[in-house]
Amino acid sequence: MRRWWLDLGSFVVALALAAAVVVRWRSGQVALLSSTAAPAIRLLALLIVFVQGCADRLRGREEPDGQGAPPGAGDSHVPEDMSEGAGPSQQGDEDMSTGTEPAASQGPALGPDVFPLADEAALGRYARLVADDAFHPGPVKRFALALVLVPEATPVQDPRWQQVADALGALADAAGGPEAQAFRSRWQAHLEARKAGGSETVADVQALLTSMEALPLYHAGLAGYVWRRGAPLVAGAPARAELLARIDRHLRACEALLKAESETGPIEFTAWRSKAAPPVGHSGLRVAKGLHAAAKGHYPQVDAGTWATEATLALTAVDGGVTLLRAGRAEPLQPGQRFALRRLDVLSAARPAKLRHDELGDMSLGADSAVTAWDVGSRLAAPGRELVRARVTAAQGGDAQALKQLEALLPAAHLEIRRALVERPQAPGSPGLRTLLELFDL
Amino acid sequence: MGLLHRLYARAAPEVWETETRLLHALRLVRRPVAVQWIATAMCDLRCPHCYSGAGKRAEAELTTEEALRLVVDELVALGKPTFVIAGGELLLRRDIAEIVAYVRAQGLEWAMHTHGGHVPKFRALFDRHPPTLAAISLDGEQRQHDLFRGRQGSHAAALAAIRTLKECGCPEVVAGTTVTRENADRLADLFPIVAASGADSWGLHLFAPEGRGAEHAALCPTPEQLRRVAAFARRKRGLFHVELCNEWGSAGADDRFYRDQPFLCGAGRISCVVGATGEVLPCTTTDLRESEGNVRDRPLREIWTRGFKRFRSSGHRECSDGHECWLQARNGNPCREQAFGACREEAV
Repeated sequence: MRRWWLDLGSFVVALALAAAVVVRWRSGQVALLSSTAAPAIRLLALLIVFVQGCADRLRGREEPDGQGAPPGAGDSHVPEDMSEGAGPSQQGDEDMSTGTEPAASQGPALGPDVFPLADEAALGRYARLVADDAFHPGPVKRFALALVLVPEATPVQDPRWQQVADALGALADAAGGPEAQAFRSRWQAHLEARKAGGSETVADVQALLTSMEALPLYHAGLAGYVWRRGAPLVAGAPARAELLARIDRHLRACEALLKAESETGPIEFTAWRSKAAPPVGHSGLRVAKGLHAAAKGHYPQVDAGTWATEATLALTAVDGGVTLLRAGRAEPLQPGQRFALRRLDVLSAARPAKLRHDELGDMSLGADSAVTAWDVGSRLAAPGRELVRARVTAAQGGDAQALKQLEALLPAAHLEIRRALVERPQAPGSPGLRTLLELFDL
Repeated sequence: MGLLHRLYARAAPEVWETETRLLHALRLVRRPVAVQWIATAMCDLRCPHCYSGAGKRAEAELTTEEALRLVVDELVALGKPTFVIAGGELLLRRDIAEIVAYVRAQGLEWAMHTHGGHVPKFRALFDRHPPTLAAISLDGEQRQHDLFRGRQGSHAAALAAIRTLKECGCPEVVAGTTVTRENADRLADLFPIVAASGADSWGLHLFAPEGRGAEHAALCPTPEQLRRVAAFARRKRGLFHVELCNEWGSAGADDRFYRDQPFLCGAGRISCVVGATGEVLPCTTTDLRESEGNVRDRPLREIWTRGFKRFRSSGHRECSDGHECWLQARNGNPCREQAFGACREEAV
């Protein structure tokens, strides 16, 4: 009985709504959307888009050429020069496609490649460190910013060091527990070493990353900082490959979390601002449901973001005997094979070998050498080095074309850019070179 | 709800555009979320990139009484959107304190765009009625900013304004940089200044050849610069709240790397601009051919509900494509493909 009345009521409401729309149509009136009707309209729009999306996918499956598929989905063309022309995050491992099966035994032993935040509890601990409070940056952002604002060779008495120390303390306090103590002491030791101008080893730098991940803390800015500390250090191929592969995984975890957050909603923190005591168990932290599952689901597919796609150098292996170590895998390069050297790659050669850049010419790898994007420029033959130097000089003089050309050569040119900036920091084109360097350093 | 949220997040721009068309078909209109008022065309600076061509006071600018009755009261009826006061330089209007007080008394949130030079003089106003958002222009490091703005000391004044507004309790102070060909390659030098300024975020606007900017079209950044700035902003977001503003258009699925929310052009859909003389425009253009009416002739409510059809229906590609910045599109200068490469779409 009640159902009958309900049905009738619903019918009358629907009829009234339809009549209102028809009346508005006929009279040309327009009404402001009420806040109660807004969610219904949103839901209807969502449904339409969902159905359209499903239909597009079905059409894409039916059509042999995949014309209904999203742009780029069926594109089998792989650009020859992988250092240019690829959109953000589009470029995967295609540039290694001509190689043989990876010889995993030569790569560093990193353990299983699984999403590092094991469960919701780990995600909660991570969230506490990265969450911003409204417009106030969270402890990680504060620490990372303080770190990058202290340039090399900053005097010990510079107040910025104190800001770094304070931010480190705040971050460690926010993390809490024995891991936080280890993190604090490890990073403090690193800061002392920097202040004193002392040298560090790859193992020291890797320990910085380990102490972060133990919190657990995954942050692209800090990982970039760790890379900048570790990349210039002299070490054998296995040690360098292990560090860079670990940074690669770290950055992939960051990308997966970012992608998941964009789908499920951001991690947010709201400090308790009432004079009354907060309710028991109130943390102020909001982590969207499903964030962990989404990030875990994305992790196997994501790459290291800009670290995989930008500031690369397109090279050709002239001789055999060169191995590309990338993300924990080792791939022997075939003579004539083109590839893009990324910032997280290591090239190792057991015997002397040559690489070629289309524009800069040959570069030589000595026996038992290990080369990365950081130091590949120093392997160039004299004409190539001269070309880089000329471009840097031109760009420093304000030549926009030279700046553009250098962007495609960053791994080969960044050391020369740094040298030029130390020599003439106030030259007209120096700000442009500094901005360009940021694209290599982060 | 979680599933719906995820579905929406994956296709927010598409859902939003579909919703706009649906509302149009049902003869319904969203309430505006923000309405900007060009309080005056007066400005004591002559910046070459100024979108409103500010300088002298325009003839027949809205009086105090008109501003209150024809704009503020109408906004109350429209559901109290955020009232953004811009210019020119809004703080050169003598009645600005009175207008702000009235706006707050009506329960509206207010925000402002200023060059910052007069902020200390209005400290009492900001103490009493802090804006929910204040954007202070910062075009470069000291030498470049002062040169560009044509006044020595304007850089220091902008930094002082940021500090003053934070002290007054403004929850979000944005350092706003309009990216031009002149400063696009200098952002690495500006970053530490912004980070240390006390600003909560850094908004990177993009030069649009509107107003006085139309006379300096050479200030348009090159495609290489656009790409470099976008890449720079993406990297810095992990360290500071950097946001690519609307003029950049959508980066598609990659929007998450550049801004907090996916880009959706709000012109005529959730926002509009009331010019200094009462013309109602979809966005910050100075081209009066784009006007949908004048608040002196028709109530703002009516202009909002009956106007802007080209933004709410399909067919007018320049206006109806929510992925493009309408302001850039109308100038034949869509930047998104240059800045972000081929924008990708992600299906639901």
